[in-house]
Amino acid sequence: MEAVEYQAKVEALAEDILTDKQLAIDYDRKRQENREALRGLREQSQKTKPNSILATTTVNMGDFFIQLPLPKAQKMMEEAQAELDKAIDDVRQRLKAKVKLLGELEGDEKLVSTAKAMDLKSVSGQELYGISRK
Amino acid sequence: MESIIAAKATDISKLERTGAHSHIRGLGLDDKLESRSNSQGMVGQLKARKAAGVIVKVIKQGKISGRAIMMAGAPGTGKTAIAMAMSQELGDVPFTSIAASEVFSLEISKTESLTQAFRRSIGVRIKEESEVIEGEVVEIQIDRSVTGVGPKTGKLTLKTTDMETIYDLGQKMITSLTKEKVMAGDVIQIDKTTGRITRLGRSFTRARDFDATGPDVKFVQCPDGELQTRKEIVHLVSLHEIDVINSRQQGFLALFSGETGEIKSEVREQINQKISEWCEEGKAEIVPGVLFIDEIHMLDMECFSFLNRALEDTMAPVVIMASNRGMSRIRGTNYQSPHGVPIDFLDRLLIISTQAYSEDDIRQILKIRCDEEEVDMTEDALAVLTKVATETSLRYAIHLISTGHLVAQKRQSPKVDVVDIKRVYSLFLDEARSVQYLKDYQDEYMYNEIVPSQGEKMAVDSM
Repeated sequence: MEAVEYQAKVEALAEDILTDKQLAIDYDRKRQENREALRGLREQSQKTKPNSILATTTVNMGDFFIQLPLPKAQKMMEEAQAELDKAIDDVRQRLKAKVKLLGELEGDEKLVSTAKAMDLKSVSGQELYGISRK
Repeated sequence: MESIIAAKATDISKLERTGAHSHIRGLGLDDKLESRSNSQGMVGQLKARKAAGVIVKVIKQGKISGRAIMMAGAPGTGKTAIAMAMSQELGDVPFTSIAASEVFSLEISKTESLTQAFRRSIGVRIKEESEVIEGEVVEIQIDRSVTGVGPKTGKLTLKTTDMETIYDLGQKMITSLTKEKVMAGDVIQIDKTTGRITRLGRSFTRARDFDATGPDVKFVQCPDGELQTRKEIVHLVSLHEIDVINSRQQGFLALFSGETGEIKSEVREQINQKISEWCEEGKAEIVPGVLFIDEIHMLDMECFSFLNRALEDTMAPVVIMASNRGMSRIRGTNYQSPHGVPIDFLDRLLIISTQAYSEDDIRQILKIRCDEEEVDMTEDALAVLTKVATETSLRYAIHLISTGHLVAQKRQSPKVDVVDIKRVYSLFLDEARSVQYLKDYQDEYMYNEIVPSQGEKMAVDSM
């Protein structure tokens, strides 16, 4: 019975990891689409005079459309982008922890040591090459 | 799993040459650390291998550092072989192997040489991180303004198997793209921080675009997953490499050319401090490794005093030494000492001794070397060779394997037989016969000073 439970845990974790990976891909897709939209908005606001009728855009809010003035729409998009970036970072952090857990459960030493090494904070080239410069 | 954590290990391809110890894959121990009599290329020498296995286990746990181990035994008893096997077993841990004579050099002092060897055996694990955009180019569109002056503008369409998007290009990116000659169908990688573009190859789906392509066109799969990912690469550098990089301007070039020169101790102090800071902050991890010094009796008194002190440092690797001397003079003095090593130094060492091989062990070793050098030998020839090895030395017999193979080829035979062994035995002398020949014909050698016989004439030329 223990073996079955263990297998179930491992499978559930693996499923979880795959879902999170897919989530990261979806977030990135949304991020790219947002970025393209922002670019379009920026170009439009450059072309039209402010306070004219044309300086508006229609935003799709799921079920309905809203007509917004350009600066407001831009601000909304930028906030959405920041949120997406944060969400992607969170997903990546969670993924690292889950992969480490999976490695420990499966007894895969290589995976565990790689996952542990990934926990290090990053060092930039300037830091490494510039130790004696200080 | 690949796009989130790239656990890629790039293997540096080994040269296809056989060396004296290339047949060794590991220590050949089972799970209980008992040595199997013939496993992973190691034969016999059970006690020494078991001791080595214990040490490997403790090193892997990271529990010892700054300890020294000595392998002592007659020549040809597997000391270097066991050290090689230990390095294979340790895997990731940095393993530096030097001969004690390398310490003496005209360009750098002995202590600097030893310090460099020590620092080469301590690894530091660091992580490099970068945001990259990786995808297959669908289309590049660059517009020049009508008047011909003014900046160009452009759009780049990139895709992966999961998504596709359009990027607006600025002047710099357009210049980089044209310089790299990026075309539709190429798979590229753009580093977001530096703006550098790397061409990874062409996509398989676009392989049929042209009928003829150049020789160094690589075809890769269209990347999957996100367009913009964070790539994290973990490096294992040694303290010596960090020393060299920071020792002067363009220091990294000295890493490749090898002329590092003396590195100032202030630089080393700064580096030690910086690395400990990084360890505290979680930016780096120290991986203490193993330094193997062969022929330790070639070091002189000054080196030994230096080693005494260096082993007590906090950041010291595990040092394994090998010596085949018995009671002999310490280099640089007139004192006799066991293994050619001062007694106070011996006191700090864990000593593993190796014994001479039995005839059966020798036979198995010769069989393994035959397989390694891809030589086919008859059973009789192997028996004769074993006899030769027992009477002369193991190394001499190993030399006879390849030479016997050549002689057998000359006589159009695929297998080496007794007659071939006899031939090479007569062609190449072993140590004992060479000394005997020397004694018999001593008059005819140049500068001969062993008991000049009556006549006292020294031949001007010989051989």
